[in-house]
Amino acid sequence: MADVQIIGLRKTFGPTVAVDDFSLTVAEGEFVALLGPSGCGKTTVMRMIAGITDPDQGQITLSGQRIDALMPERRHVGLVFQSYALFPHMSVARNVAFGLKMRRQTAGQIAVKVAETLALVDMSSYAERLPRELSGGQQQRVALARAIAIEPRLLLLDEPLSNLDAKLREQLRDDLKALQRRLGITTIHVTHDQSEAMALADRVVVMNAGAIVEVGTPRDLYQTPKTRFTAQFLGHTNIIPARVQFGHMITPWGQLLGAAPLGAGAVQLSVRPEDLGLAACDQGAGHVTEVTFLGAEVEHRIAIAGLMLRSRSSGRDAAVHPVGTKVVLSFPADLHHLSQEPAL
Amino acid sequence: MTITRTTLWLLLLPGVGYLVVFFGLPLVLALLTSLGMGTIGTNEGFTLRHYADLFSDSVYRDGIRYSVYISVAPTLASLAVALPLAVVLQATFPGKKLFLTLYKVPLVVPGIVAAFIVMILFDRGGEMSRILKPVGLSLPKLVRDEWSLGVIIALAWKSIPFMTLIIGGALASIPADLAAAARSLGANRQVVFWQIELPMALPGITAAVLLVFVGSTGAFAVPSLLGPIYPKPLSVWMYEAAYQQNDWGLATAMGIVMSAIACAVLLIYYRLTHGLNRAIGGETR
Repeated sequence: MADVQIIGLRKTFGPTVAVDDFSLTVAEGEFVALLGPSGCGKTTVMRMIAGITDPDQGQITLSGQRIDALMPERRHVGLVFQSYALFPHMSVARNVAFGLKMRRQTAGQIAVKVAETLALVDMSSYAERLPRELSGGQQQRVALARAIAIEPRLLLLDEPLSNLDAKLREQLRDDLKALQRRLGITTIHVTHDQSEAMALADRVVVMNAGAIVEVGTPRDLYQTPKTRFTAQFLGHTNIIPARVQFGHMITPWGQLLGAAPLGAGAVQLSVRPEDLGLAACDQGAGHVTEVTFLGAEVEHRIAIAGLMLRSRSSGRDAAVHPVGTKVVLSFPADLHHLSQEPAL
Repeated sequence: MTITRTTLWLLLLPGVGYLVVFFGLPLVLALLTSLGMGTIGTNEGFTLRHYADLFSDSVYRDGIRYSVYISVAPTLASLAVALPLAVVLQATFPGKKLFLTLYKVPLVVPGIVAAFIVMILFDRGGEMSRILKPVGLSLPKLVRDEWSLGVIIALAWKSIPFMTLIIGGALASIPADLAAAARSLGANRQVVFWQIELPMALPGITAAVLLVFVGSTGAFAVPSLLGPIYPKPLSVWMYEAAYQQNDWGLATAMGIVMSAIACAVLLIYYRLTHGLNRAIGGETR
């Protein structure tokens, strides 16, 4: 049974359409990431699910119950903000207890639940501290504890890791994932960070300009994106237009590639830099314009037939071709074309 | 480079010097005058006579009591209006912009003008009683009345926008995410106000209360126009002592007593907010 069902959600702010025709189904226990550039409407979607913003149109159903007309306090949805939003005048324990008090639990029940939840996020020894006495990572743990203490039907995370530095972000990301798996809590995570979305989510919803561009598992979206937007937003890619002759794809510089999809006159290929092979050759059509050493990888930029392509190779023995070297390119056997893009 | 003691004093001079010359010095001169060693009026050598006069005369004792009354009552009245008003003004509603401009008008109206407005409106035979008469209603005595309602109305009318401005600022500085988080945890609008917004705005609220209180303590024009014949506030007695009896010793003694009351309130305020800040963990001011 679907746990969260969103149908035709729409929101405008004056003349600006923030979210348009947003429909999504999230299964029970699933971790879904809403991924997109800032201003793409992902936060507005989250705020409409939480009840902070009223939708102009659309339905939101949670465990079979319509919630889009309910007051936020009646929705039973946990919220974690980028700004942590801890109550600054309350201790960590009182912050976590807040939602339980609102549910009129007894002091005994609350004490047990607070201790339990703080232990889950590894913050037990900070119970009597005030939020301002904690680091950003610690504050975010408390915010998470406060949200899950009420055992919400749905957990909404709004860029929860964005205010933290890189190392801490990774640490907290792993903890977050482990915790979510353990509690089996249905989660919608809003982020603009593609690596965060890929690392955390079972499914990623790519958004742009208020609408869904593509939905899929991180692996599918990365390896077989249907749109140019997804291909470029998730990691780096080379977009290569290819024409089709005698059932085969041919690059602008005349290199013959594999069989073309049926009926296509031309296609757009998306080739990840790590999939693009490179070999020095005096008759090569391209030449190296830039070499960047990135530690784990070496990146070459190649100018070829008016295109600027990237190739990345990893490992200790990765060949480094100096700038100006003439090169030929090699492609993987299973070439991927963007099926939802018109041919160039 | 270490800053030498001399450099430090030099650096502090503009700030501290200003306070000493324009604030400390007049206060010390007033204190000296009240003790009979003044530069204004007669110099009679150290004496506590003026303070003895002040506290032994029941007219002045009533004056002190009345001064405190017309400081406390308008402050509470203003708070009762300003706090709900500041909350309402956080929301958006049609005509808000116009209202935001209009409600601040009393800020720029001088106290004496405010007193005349109240007099014209609420005095016996004033506009209000003319309007209400055909309906069969009559106003209670509001000008020069026993409870100084006219004074309270005029002073509160002046200080409500000021208080609303400060409390509104304090409320507006609370991040919206906090209310959203509280709502999602099951708190309704009222709970969010009493448990989140009010405690967080408390430093602003107490500051507004304090400033209005101190402002009302020294009010002169409003109580002398709208207040009862007796008692009169210390500010009015002070004027009479200085300019009608030429008794600068007594006048400055009254000034010192009024300053002492203000200082006492200030101290209580710091005590209270310090305690509150401990308890609620807000910012220290």
